Amino acid sequence: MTNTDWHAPPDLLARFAHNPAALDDMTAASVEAHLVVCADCRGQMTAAASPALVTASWDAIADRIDQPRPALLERVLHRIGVGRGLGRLLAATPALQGAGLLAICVLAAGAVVLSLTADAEGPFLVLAPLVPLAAVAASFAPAADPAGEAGVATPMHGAGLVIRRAIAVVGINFGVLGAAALALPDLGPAAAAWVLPALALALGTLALGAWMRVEVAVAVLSSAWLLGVSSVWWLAGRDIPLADSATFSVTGQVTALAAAVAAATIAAARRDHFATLEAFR
Amino acid sequence: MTSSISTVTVTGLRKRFGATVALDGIDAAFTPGVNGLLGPNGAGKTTMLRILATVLPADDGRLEVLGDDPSTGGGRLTVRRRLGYLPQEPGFHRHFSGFEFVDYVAILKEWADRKPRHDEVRRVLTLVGLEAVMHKRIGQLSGGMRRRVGIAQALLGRPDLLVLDEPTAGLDPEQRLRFRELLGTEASGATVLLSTHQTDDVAALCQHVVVLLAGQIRFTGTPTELAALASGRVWLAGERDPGADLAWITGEGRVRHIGEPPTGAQLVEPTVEDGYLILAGRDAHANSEALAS
Amino acid sequence: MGVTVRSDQDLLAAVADGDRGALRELHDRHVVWVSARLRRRCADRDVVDEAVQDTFVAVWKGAGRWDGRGEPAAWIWGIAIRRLIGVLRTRGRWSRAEAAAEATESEIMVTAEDQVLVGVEHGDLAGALRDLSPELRAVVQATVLDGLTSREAGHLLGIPPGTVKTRMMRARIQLRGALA
Repeated sequence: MTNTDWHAPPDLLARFAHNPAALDDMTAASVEAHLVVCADCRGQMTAAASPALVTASWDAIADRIDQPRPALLERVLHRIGVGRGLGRLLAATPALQGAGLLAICVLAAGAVVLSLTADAEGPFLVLAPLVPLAAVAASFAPAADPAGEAGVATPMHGAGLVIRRAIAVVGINFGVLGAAALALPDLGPAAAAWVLPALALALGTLALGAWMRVEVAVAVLSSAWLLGVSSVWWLAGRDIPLADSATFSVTGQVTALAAAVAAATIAAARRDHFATLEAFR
Repeated sequence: MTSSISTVTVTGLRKRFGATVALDGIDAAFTPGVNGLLGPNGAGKTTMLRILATVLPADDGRLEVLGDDPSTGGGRLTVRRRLGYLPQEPGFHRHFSGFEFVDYVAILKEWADRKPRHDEVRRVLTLVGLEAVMHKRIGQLSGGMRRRVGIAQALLGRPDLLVLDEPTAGLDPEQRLRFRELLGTEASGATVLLSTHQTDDVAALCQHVVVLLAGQIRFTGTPTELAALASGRVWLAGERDPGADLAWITGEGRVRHIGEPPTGAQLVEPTVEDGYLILAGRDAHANSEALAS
Repeated sequence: MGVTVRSDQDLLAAVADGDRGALRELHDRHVVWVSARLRRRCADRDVVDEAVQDTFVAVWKGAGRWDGRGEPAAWIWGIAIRRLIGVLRTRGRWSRAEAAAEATESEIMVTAEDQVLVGVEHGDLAGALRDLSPELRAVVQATVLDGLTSREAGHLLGIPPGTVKTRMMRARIQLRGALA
C-alpha cells in the first residue's frame, strides 16, 4: 500500500528536526505522512537531533514515571503536616494498610454487634481494648517493615520510628473505635470507659515487646486482660452488668492510667532494644 | 591505594545465642579497600558482619567503626549514616518494585527531599544494571536480579563502610565480573567488608582476607600469604594418592593433592583455595564443592 | 555485548510489561519526529515540550491498551496530538463546545483522508491543496491528516467546531472542483 522505496532526503529531515515551521505545508504533510510508516527516516531524524536535548527530554519523563503513587494514608498524613518521607514510612505499616484497616473495622463492628445483642456495653468494653493491642504489636513486629534487615542498619530505624508508628496506629484505632462506640445502646460516660484500658494495653505491648517476642507479648497481655476482667466481675458476684464492674469504675480507670504510665516508662528505658534486630531463634 | 590506618577495629569480640558460641574472642583490624571474610557456613561470618553493621549488639568486646563506638546510641547513629549493608537475606516485600524498595530504604537513610533521592535511586540501580527493570515487582525478578537490588540499596549515598554478606551469591560469572568492576570504581576509598565462601572472589577482589572457622580467626593477611600456607604441599598426579590429606579430580582429568608430598611429586603453585583448605580441612572442601556447583 | 534490535511492536509489549528500558528506547526513536510534527501545529515551545512529556508518560501507563494493529508510530502520534490539545485547553485556549453530527463527519473524513493521503504521496492533490487558503488548509490538515474530530480541531486551531465544519465543507467543494 505504501511506497517504501521512497525515502525523505536526509537534509530535509534535518531541517524538519531543527526548524519544522520553516517547511512549506505540502512538503511537510508529505514528510509527516511518510515518517509514520518509515523507521529508517525516523532514525535519520533522531541522528540529526541534539543528543543533549533527547537526554533532557528523557530525564524529565523518567522523573515523572519514577514517582510512586502515594497511598491514600500517605496523602492524608501529608495534608495534616507530616513530612513526605515520614509519611511513607508510616503508611508502610501493615496495620495501617488495606487489610489491616479492614480488620480493625471488622473487629470494632463485631464488638458493637455483640454489645447490641446483649443490650449492654460490657462486651464492647472488654473487646475494644484488644484491638489497639494487636494493631500496635503488628506495627513493630519484625516482619512489619518492608525494608527488612537492610532497614535495620539505617539511621531512622529505632525507637523513634516505632513510637511514631505506634502513635499513628493508636490514633486511627481510637478513631474507629470511638465511631463504633456511638452505636452502643447506652451512650453514657461508660461508653468511653474502654479508652484508658486500651491505652494501657497498647503501651504495655510496646513495653513487653522490648523484653520478649511480639507474639508472646500479645498472648500474655490479652490473656491477662481477659482473665483480669472476668475475675473482677466473677468475684463481685456476677449479678451486676459487666460494664458496672470495678474494672470500668473510677478505680479501674485510675489503675489503667497508672499502668499506662508504667508501661511507657519501661518502654522508654528499654528503647535501645528497638534499635537492633530482635533476638531470633 | 590502601591506608595503613585501621578504619574498623575489633578486640575480644564475643557473641552467643543461647548455648551456641558464634564468636569466640575475635581480634581483627580492617583498612580501606576490600577485606574478605572467608569461611564455611556457620563459622560466624554473618554474626560478625551483623555486629559491625550495627544490626546486632555484641555480648562482649571493644568495637571501633570509623572512629565511633557502635555500642552507644550516638555512635550507632553516626555509623549508620556512613554505612551501607547488604544482609544475607534482604527479606524483600514481593509486591514492591525494585525502585520502590530502594527508594524506601533511601528514606530510612534520611534522604527527605524527593528529587535528589530519586536521582540517587536511579543512579545506584543503573550501577548494578537494573535500569530497565526497576519498575517490575521484585517477585517477578530472577534471584540474581534480586541480589543486585540488595547491592544497589547498600550503595546509596556512597558510604564509607560497605558491609556485604555474600554479595555474589546467585550471580552468574558475567554479573560477578561486573560486581568486581563496580567495587573498583564505586567503592574506591571506602572500607569494604565482604563475606564469601568463593575463594576465587577472594583472589580477584580482596586486598586483605580473614579466615573465620568455628567462631575464631585462623588467618589474617593478603590472599597471596594465604595461598603461601600451602607452599610445597600441593601436587598433581595421574592417580589418587591415599597418603594425601585432600585429593580431588581437576577439570583436566588429573588429581590434585594437598598434604605431605611424596618424593618426586609434581609440585604446583598453590592457589588461595589450597591455602584455605589447609586451614579448613575436609569439611570446608565438601562445603565449597557443593556450593560452587 | 550483542543486543538484538527490538521492533517498535516488541518495545510496546515490553513497556506494557513494565520494561523501563524499552520505554527509553521507544522515546529515543520517536521523540524527535513527534516533537517536530507538534511544533508545526503549535508555535509555543513550552506547550509542545509539555505535550511530548505527557505523551510518553501516557505510553508508559497505557501501553497495554494498544490493540497491536497498525504502526506503533501512528498510535503514538494519536496520543501526542490529543495531548497537545489537552495542554492547550488547560492553558486557556478554549473554544465553544457544540454538539453536532460528528459521526457522519468522521465517515466523510475517512473517504477524504484516503484521497488526500494518496494525493500527497503521488503529488496529485498537491497543487489543489496549495491553492486553498491557509485557513482552509489548516482545517484539512487537522481533520484529515491528523484525524481529529471537529471539536478537537477547533481546540487546536482556536476556532469553534462550527467554523471547522464550514471551512471543511468549503475545502471539499474547492478540492472537488480542482480535481474534477
